[in-house]
Amino acid sequence: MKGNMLSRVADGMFWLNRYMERTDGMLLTLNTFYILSIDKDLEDFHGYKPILEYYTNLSDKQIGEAQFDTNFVLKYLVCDNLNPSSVKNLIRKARENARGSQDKITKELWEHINSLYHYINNPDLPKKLETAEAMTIIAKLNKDFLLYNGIMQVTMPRGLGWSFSCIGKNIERCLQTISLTQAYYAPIHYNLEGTEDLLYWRRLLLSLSGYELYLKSYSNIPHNRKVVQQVIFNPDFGHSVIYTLGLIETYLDILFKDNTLSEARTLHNQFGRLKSSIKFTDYHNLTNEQLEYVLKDTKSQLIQFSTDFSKLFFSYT
Amino acid sequence: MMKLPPKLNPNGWDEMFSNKGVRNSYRKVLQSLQGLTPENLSQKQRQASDFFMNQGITFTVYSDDNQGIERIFPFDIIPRIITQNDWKEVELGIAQRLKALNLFLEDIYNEQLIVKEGIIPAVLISTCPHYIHEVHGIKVPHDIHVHIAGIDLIRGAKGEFYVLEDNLRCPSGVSYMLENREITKRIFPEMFATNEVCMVANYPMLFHNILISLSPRNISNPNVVLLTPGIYNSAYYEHTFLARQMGIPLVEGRDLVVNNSKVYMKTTSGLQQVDVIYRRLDDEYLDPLVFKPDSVLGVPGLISAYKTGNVALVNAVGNGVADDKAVYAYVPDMIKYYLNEEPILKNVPTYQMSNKEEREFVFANMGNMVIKETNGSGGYGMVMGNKATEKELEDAKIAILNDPRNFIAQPIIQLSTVPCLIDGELKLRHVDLRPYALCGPNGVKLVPGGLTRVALTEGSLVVNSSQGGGSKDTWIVK
Repeated sequence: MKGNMLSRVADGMFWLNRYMERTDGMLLTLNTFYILSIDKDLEDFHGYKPILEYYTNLSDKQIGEAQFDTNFVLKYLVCDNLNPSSVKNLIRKARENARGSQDKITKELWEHINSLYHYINNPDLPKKLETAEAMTIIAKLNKDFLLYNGIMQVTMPRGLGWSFSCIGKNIERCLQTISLTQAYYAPIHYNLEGTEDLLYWRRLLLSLSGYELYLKSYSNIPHNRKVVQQVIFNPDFGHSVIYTLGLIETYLDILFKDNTLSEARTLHNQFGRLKSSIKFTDYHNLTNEQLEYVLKDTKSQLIQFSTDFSKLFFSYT
Repeated sequence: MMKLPPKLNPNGWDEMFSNKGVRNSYRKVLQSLQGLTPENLSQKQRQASDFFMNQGITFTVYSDDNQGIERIFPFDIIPRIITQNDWKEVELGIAQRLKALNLFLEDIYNEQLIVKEGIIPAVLISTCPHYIHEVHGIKVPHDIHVHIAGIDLIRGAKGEFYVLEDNLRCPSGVSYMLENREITKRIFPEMFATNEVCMVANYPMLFHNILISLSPRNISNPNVVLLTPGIYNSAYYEHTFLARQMGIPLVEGRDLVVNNSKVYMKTTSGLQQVDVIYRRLDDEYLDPLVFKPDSVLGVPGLISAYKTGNVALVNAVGNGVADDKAVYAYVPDMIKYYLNEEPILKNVPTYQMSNKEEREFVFANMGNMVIKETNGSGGYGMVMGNKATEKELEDAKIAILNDPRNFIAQPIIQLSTVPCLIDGELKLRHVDLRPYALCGPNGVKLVPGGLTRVALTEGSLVVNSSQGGGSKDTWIVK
């Protein structure tokens, strides 16, 4: 479809999906950590540290104080008004973007976002999170986000808006995968030859919805190199870096199809280089230092790409 | 359930009951309602509230911690019924009125014959803040200034219709008319099917056709947009609803730019020329180069593009002069002057506070009068003589004496009543009616229906949503 989409609306759809994907990822991670925190037999040195590090602005000291405090973490991450990255605030921001793009998203999608907003703003929710109901609440929210993705798939037209939405969603997903991976490899100094057991990697894999696939694909120890293979390089894993970059490329091709601007060509090339750096990395012979560099470099390149992408398509102010 | 028939006001008109019992038009509805328990009715009311909440048809109330709480505009599930005979009169009366008002606007921004011939005092126009000098001499497509109008009607003691006011700038509420119908069909499917209710759903289609017909460029697919002040505007839901229903982009001022007296929208693939703007922005915010210089809602240069004829604005700029409450009193004269016809719909008697004799008469009868600002809306600045305190009446007198042109007075008319579901029971409440009329090159069209606004407080005659009013679905039955 030749473009006639307002830049502001495209921006709104892009960010709507970034916020929704971020919230989805955070809830999935929170659910994983919460359930595993109940299992007291596990030797757990991190508690909620990885999730607090990536999804909040808390200082190291605050994280140290809160990393084993389930009550605090649940309330802070789900419905704290003062936490800009709480589920409540992220849904509010997503809804604002949805409101601004309301004529381009379907009624079904809008109603779902709206009902999520009303649910998360229920004044009784913080109190309920202190009770045994917390598990049900997190599970309900997880399902609501699955439903969001389903409604997107089923009802949204595949036009320009769809491409902007998918690019936003996959940039966010890719950044989450990289950051969570960093959170698990940094404490072991990116040691690819280490012998961390499956219990160590389970949290990461469950948080990325990749545990079952991992068990089916790589059942033998050691795990450290295989986990990297799954979360970064496995093209069949929906949360892997290579898979998400592939989707971004697909939708970029659609957006750039009739675009003859030189800035568009530059951006297209910029993304091509980014994807190639992952695609042609030999993960069998990857060293610890190279892993650290690849994760860091891909993340910063993707953030730069996102900024340049916004400048090209959304510079309406 | 309420006792039937309820105690009726001998000086008012109830739409469901007469002294002899239930009116024919309501017979089937009443029968259906009587078959429901109070629990059934309350459940339907909840269903309707949830529908509006999930759709985001809400406004936000802010608490002390600055956390917004969203509330819906109250909707009463009992429909208001108007017979087709009565509707015919409304339809003809509004079409006649709009024809005259369009001729008036065309005249007043060009030759001003109606003033020159002494039908309307020149001072009334020259002192009207909504007369826009910047568009004097403008020629608008098909000479139509009012494309969409919301004419507020009330019914007197004998059921006769009166025009209470004309809304010719950015009349709102049409989405409620359409959404009220949607929810009523869902909660009362059988009752709806047995009553042969006229359809309103074609409104967006009719309106879209009119918008397309106004394009200055003779092209098959002109770019029509809806200009909204943004997501924080209280009518934003309506803007998105209409844009979606008509399949047109919903733009904000910052999405548009004027270059070489042409309007463009900023898209992901560059600038695209805009032909028609259905603006939901008041005149004074449209263009900071002409009106409020600090407004960020409008588009710099828009009026220049409009005057050049490169873009059509709907409604036209400057219509406020025709729905000024002081000018309203002259609409019957306009009908006679421009159309040589007698008005089909009556005006409510209106006293001009700038006229000394009329003012003294009003001061002597304040208790029976409602005082209104000539350019107020939403029920703001209105004083109901029978409810106001002595101090409020005194303050109103002082305000009138300070600026008599800014006020009119009307006798308090008992609006008609309709039963509403209040606290699980049916109770009588006062209503008005806002039908929506569309004017295009092929004449005036009204969809058979409108927005019935209800004063939900017992005895209140103020129906505005900003003053706690609600709404009902309006059925025109065959």
